[in-house]
Amino acid sequence: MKKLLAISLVSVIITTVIMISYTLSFSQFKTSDCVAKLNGYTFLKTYKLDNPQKEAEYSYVFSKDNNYMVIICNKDGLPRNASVTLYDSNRNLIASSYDEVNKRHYYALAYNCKSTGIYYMKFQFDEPSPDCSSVLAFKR
Amino acid sequence: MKKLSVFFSIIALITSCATDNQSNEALIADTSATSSSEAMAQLPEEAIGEIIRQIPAPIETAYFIKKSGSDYSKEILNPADNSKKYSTSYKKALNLGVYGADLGYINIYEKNKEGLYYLNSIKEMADGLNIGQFFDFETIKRLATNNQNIDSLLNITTENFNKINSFLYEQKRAEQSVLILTGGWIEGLHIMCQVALKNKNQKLYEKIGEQKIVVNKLASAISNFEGLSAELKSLSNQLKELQKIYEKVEISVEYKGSTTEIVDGIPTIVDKTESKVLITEDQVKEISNTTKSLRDKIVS
Repeated sequence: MKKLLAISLVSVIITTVIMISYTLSFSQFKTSDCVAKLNGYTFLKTYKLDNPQKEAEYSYVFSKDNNYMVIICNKDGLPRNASVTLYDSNRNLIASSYDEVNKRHYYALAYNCKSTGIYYMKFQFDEPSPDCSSVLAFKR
Repeated sequence: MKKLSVFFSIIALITSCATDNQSNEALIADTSATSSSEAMAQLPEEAIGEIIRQIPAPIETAYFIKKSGSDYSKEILNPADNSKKYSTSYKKALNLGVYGADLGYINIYEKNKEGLYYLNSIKEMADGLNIGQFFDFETIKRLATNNQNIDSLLNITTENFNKINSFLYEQKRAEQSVLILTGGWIEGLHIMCQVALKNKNQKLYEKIGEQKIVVNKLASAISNFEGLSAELKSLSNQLKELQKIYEKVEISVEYKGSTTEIVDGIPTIVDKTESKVLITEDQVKEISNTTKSLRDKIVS
């Protein structure tokens, strides 16, 4: 019985170590992989999109004369079923990364800000996407 | 049967450790702050979280200062040695923000060796708040010694501060997160005011005026915690004073709509809407003096 318990414990520990490694590597992946795609932009914020729902919204004070970019990433790279829509402080629609005419999703949206204020970024998914994250960056 | 129940208890214990990594981090959190911040909260918790996410990163301020063409000025910064003076959590949190803003300014000007001293001060503050584990000091040090990695250095530094803010908010230590952001913002504004007035730079005057949006947000967040201590009450009053000065600054927005173009495969918004800031040099001086007095109390 003692031998059986020892074997069971060892297998549980091995499984646990694998789970921890996976959890850590996956959580590190989400931000750093997204940041790696910035290409000339400087990182500002990360937004968690790992809630298994179809929508999430975050806001940020954008500054006049700065060029911003919002990128959406998932564990496979760049998702093809997600979009980000930008609204100004009065909730006026500015633009979306979803091209309604061609029914195409883009993974990023760039914005040359001309008016300092609070902006709202609404992230939408065609289907629940539990493994996504987003990064906001600006161009130096 | 007894052995079996012990076995399942062990499984449950190990599994909970594996799936909730943050619960380990919670153990080292300042739990005294938890109950007090919950008791005093007036704004809904989500509203505080939203403010924390909205506040611009100090690196943007540093970028505008460099873009204005002004030279690097070490004298404006809070000396790295001052870190020894900060013994309370309140001071450590505020000055973690201050040193973070200073490091952003130093990094933007690529004074990496100088940055190493500030990195040590940041480590001291972060360790004192039990959040040092979120700062990848070794990688930042390595990047700081190699000037070619400036983008990575800026990215990882800002990313580490974001992790700290998210962690503190999730651990119900939102007031510490707000203090870090306030310290960083005050330092950024202080540097910008000093540089703008020295060079009489109209573009920076406008940037100072635009901070009206941020001061309103931070004053609202800090006032939420002003009942926690006399220090927080004093800080809240000073921010309200600054907010009052900012009431005279006018920001107008002319809506003209926007179009979208595909540039390098990415939808790029061309916005025709434009904001204008009406701020006088005297108003900048008033903001500068009040900010300096606030900042002096923080770094003393």
